[in-house]
Amino acid sequence: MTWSKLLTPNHCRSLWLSSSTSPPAEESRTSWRCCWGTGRYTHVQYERLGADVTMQCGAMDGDAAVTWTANGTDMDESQFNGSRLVLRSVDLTHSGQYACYEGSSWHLKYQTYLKVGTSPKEPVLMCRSNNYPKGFYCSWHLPSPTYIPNAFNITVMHGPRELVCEKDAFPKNRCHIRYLQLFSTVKYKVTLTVTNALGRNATTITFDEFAIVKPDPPENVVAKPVSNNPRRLEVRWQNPSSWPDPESFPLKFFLRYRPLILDQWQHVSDLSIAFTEGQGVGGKAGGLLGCRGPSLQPPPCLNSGVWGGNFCPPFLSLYPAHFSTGKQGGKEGRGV
Amino acid sequence: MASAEQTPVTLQHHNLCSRAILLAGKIRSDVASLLESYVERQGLDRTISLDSVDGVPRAAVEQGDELTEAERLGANLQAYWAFQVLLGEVLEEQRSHLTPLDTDFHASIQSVLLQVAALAYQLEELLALLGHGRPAWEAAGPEDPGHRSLFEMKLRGLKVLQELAHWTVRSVRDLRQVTKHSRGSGTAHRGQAQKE
Repeated sequence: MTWSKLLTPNHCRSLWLSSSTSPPAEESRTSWRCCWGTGRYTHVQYERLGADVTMQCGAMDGDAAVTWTANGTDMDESQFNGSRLVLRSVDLTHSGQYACYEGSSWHLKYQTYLKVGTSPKEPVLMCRSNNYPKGFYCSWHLPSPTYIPNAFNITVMHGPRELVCEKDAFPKNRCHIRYLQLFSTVKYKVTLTVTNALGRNATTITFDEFAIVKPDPPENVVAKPVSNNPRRLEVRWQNPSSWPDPESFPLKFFLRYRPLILDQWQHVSDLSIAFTEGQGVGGKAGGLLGCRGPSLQPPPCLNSGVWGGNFCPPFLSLYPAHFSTGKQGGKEGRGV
Repeated sequence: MASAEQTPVTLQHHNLCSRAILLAGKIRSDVASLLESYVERQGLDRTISLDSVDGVPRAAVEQGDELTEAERLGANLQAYWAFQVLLGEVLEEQRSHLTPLDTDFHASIQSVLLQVAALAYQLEELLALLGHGRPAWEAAGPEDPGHRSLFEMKLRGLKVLQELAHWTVRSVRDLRQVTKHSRGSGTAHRGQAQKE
């Protein structure tokens, strides 16, 4: 395969990124891109931040008289070495369209799009299950931008078995994996590789099935004063809709509250959603929230959730989840 | 819950399931603590691979595997029978070879062993109440305990505790499934009775 054979109007992306085979090393910093409507094909060149870059004017002799332009503007001859253009210690402002014209005829001899960037640093990768036992997702990002296009490849291994990670349409830096097994002690190993024209990097994380379980915040959190009892507040909430099986894997909730004049939070814990025919039962008694309900055995907590702060008035937070083996789970929770 | 709508057998079944669920949860909590002290005392890294350790019932199930009520309860019971034997071996190895002076540690293993025995008994009762036969007793793996190195003993003990921890989570799920199905069956029976 040669690059020229791939140059049709239908191949306008950086071809080396979409190719299943690696380009030759000397080609690794270049690609081809179509200019729609012009019928011309532009050479794209990737160079490392801080590097010295020399551009040849096509097949012109080394001492031929030429004119170089950058983004359509003539460049100063002090940057020429004969017919070559020399850019010292390039930075991001050097990115742009460079063209070389024969001195007298002004024939275009060479054109390239220079993109200055960096090789990728080690990516940041995390995985989480907010819908156990259905599956989990992994998401990633780069700690600093490279300023040039990057390609990401993720592999998920469960023992000897490779699992499929289905990429999300949006955001693009996330993919989903379905659990093929449950309650397995075999660890999951996820490797993310990021590659661009200037290099590659990778990271691997290993985790137990339960270690990444982290439910979403509770939904529809509402706090209302209790009539004729100004010292009491009724709080209602629901399981996160993303939690698929609260009966088999019930959630436990923690609630905290404070009068606005105080800085410290009071906590109400051990709130399981135990519900029969629409009624909710709270956790233990305490403070402004005089909760009542059955005392619960210490649950086998597997992981922590997040405070549902977005859903609460500023004096109230609902912390949505370990999952427990308390009493039967239900749909709606209420504390009074 | 209106008891008039439920038969005494159903109520007893629900009570047994609830008690078993709570006990499984308690075991899970105690094993989680025991695991922390185990790795510390044995000088192990929690991430060490235990794939080579055989003879420990694996909690893993294929997603979507639909088991009957009898199969679910039977698999759990067989596992806890095996864990009774395995925990006994772990305890003996700790007493005789690995941590002979650490009686507090032995007591915590013993406590878990007793709870596992209690859970096995509850599962036996539940199976009998539901009219299912007891599963066959399957002996542990072929490995001869006498030929284990000290390191192998340590790894095996860790494997036992890890799988036990995962079994308790599976047991809670399985018991809740059994409870859910029996509620559905109870509703069907009540409907049938009303028509008649």
